[in-house]
Amino acid sequence: MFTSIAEPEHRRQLRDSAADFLRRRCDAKAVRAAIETVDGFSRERWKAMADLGWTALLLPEKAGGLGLGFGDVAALHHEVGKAAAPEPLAVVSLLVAQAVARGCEGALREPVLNRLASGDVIATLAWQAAPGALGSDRVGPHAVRSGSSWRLAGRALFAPFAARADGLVVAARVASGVALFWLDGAPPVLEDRRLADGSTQASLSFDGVHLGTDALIAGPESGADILDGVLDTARLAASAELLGLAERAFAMTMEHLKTRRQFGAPIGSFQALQHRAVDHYIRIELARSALERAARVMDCGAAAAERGAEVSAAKARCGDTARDVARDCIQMHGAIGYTAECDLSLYVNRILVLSTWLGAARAHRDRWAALRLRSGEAA
Amino acid sequence: MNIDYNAMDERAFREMVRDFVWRECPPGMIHQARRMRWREAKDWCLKLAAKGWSAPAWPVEHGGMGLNIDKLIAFQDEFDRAGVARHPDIGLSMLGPLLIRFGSAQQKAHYLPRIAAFEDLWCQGYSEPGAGSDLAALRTSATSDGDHWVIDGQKIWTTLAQEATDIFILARTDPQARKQAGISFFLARMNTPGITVRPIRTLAGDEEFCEVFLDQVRIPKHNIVGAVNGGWTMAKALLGFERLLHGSPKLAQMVLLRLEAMARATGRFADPVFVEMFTRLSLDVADLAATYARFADGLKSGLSLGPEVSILKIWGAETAQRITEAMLDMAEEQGASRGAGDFGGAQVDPLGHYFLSRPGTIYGGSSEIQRNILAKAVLGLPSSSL
Repeated sequence: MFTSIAEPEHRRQLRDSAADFLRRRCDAKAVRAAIETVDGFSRERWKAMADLGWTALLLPEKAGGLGLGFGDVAALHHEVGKAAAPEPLAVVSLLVAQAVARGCEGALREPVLNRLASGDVIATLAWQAAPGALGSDRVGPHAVRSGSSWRLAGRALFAPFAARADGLVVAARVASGVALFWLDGAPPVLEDRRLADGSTQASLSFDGVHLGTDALIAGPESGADILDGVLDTARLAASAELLGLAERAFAMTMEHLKTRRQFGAPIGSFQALQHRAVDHYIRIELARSALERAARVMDCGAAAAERGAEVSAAKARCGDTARDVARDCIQMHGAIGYTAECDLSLYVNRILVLSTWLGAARAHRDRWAALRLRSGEAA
Repeated sequence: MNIDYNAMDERAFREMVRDFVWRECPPGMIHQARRMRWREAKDWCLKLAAKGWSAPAWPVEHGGMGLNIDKLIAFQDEFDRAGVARHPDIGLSMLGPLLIRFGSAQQKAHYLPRIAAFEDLWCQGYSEPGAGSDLAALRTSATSDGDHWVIDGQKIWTTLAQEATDIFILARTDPQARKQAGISFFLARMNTPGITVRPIRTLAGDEEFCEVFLDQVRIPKHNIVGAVNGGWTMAKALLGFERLLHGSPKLAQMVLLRLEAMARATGRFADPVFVEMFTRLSLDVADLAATYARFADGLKSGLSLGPEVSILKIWGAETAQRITEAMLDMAEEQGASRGAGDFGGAQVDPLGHYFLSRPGTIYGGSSEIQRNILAKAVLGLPSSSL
């Protein structure tokens, strides 16, 4: 297809170097080893990714970042998806570092960004009030100012890697909006859960947590916008990973169809399987189009509503496509596709996690409809 | 009047096209749920020809506008936005490009101006009763007799043959050769003795296509295009933009707009079940359009289209069908009526759109054939032993 040819040179280089690193450092065996650890990922590989600058793609160059755009983020995460790499790249570099970079102008900014970009700390974001919540209108924690400190309370759900993190950004409702705070050290985990792909996610309770005023990253004048912005950025990355995961799972399955023989013929010669395969090929190309469109709109600096609609369209398409591809890849592999031993399992499990993370397809279609249809405008 | 359209700023170009379309296109040509007949489209066609706009994709020296791919897409897009129905264009979009590429100097000089001026209306004699998806199985024969070819056989699904002045015909010139190898490409006047046309009534109740009987039809020797036995490769060689046009999202976009008009007028956007379905369909169309734009961008940057362009036709035609089925569902009992009906003030023809969306998965290689091609040519899956 035409994608890679239309890409600017620097992006192709980014892709090539990412693919090369992942081929060397993150093959199926390495992924398996990582997801069976307590962390669910490899701290060593995480550090190596940070050394390559992957944690600082969007950070301005004067903050030690690469100053790249959203199309580049999508390209990198597309490659990460193809390798099923389990490291918390989108969480740390897009949710947390971007919240700090966009919100914080105080003394916290430089040291926190440096620690995040260097790969020395794992940090996460806590905000979500309820399943299916998509943005700043559904923030769980709340905070009140009392003298020289903030008193926090309430819960946040589904914070990735929270029980393995050394710090977090917490979004909290305050009197006139949403504020963002930096919380150093271990997050207040209520319940930690292991997900299908070996990663972890925790619900957090902020009851009794007190923070100094210097912990404030963004006040109510900008907190909600920043939160919605970083969520959409991470969704773009998740969509790109889903596309990469679906493509690789599909490619493995095409290989299987060509080599597996039954009834004296490769099973890929059977029309029922050929047509099924073509349907997934079509859906994968539609997902690529939706992803590229969303990245382009974000790189053009679109307003929040336009950005939200396109990101939701991409997340819905990539999520649905990846899950449908995963389902049929299991089927077309036959019994071996139902085993943990088959590398397909790494892809299927990761797809099952990322397709729900930051909103499943149905929720994103609802958001698209709310943004696009209420105003009387059609697609 | 010679204008270099390609040198124009895209915005100014679009405004010029839009202005002409809105000013000149007769209301009867807008938002039609069927293909236009010559008598309905004639005024509009002649206006296009007079303006020099009947053949946007052809080179200027052959009477076309000579548009580059950017301008061609913009031109088509302005027509689509205005809801202009398709006029009889088989000569313009199919035969013209083929003659430009493979025709003799005399053929180009004689036929191209007549096509561009709508003096000749062409129809396409490809399919036969025993040769549909398996086109190379065609049996119509052409035998040499002095300075004539004599053609015998039968064509079917020949769109608008009843009003065509000319027909291009695939016929077998070497019965011994391998299926595809013995076929040639001929041109004939429809008033040649031995040609009989019988219209076929479609599901929609129109007489859109016909059977064409060819009984000892004698045509001059020079009415062959390309080499004897060289017709198959030519017939299959659709030029880049024509292949892309087969996958244009315009039908799906048009029927989605009609569905939306129905739904707004009848208050269906208050129903979350409807909104979920409409959203899915809207995203299916939006992602089709984005994929179409990717292929168009590829063409613009000088790439040629590979077999993967078929995904546009499959998805576009099937999406249009899903949308028109949703229209039928929404129309309840009114979905059974022929012609436009009133839906809360919106005039929509759900049954007409349902019918209009059916042929897209059949003509030009059925969706099943397209899937076979993609499976082998793009995914590299092995051929079946059947």
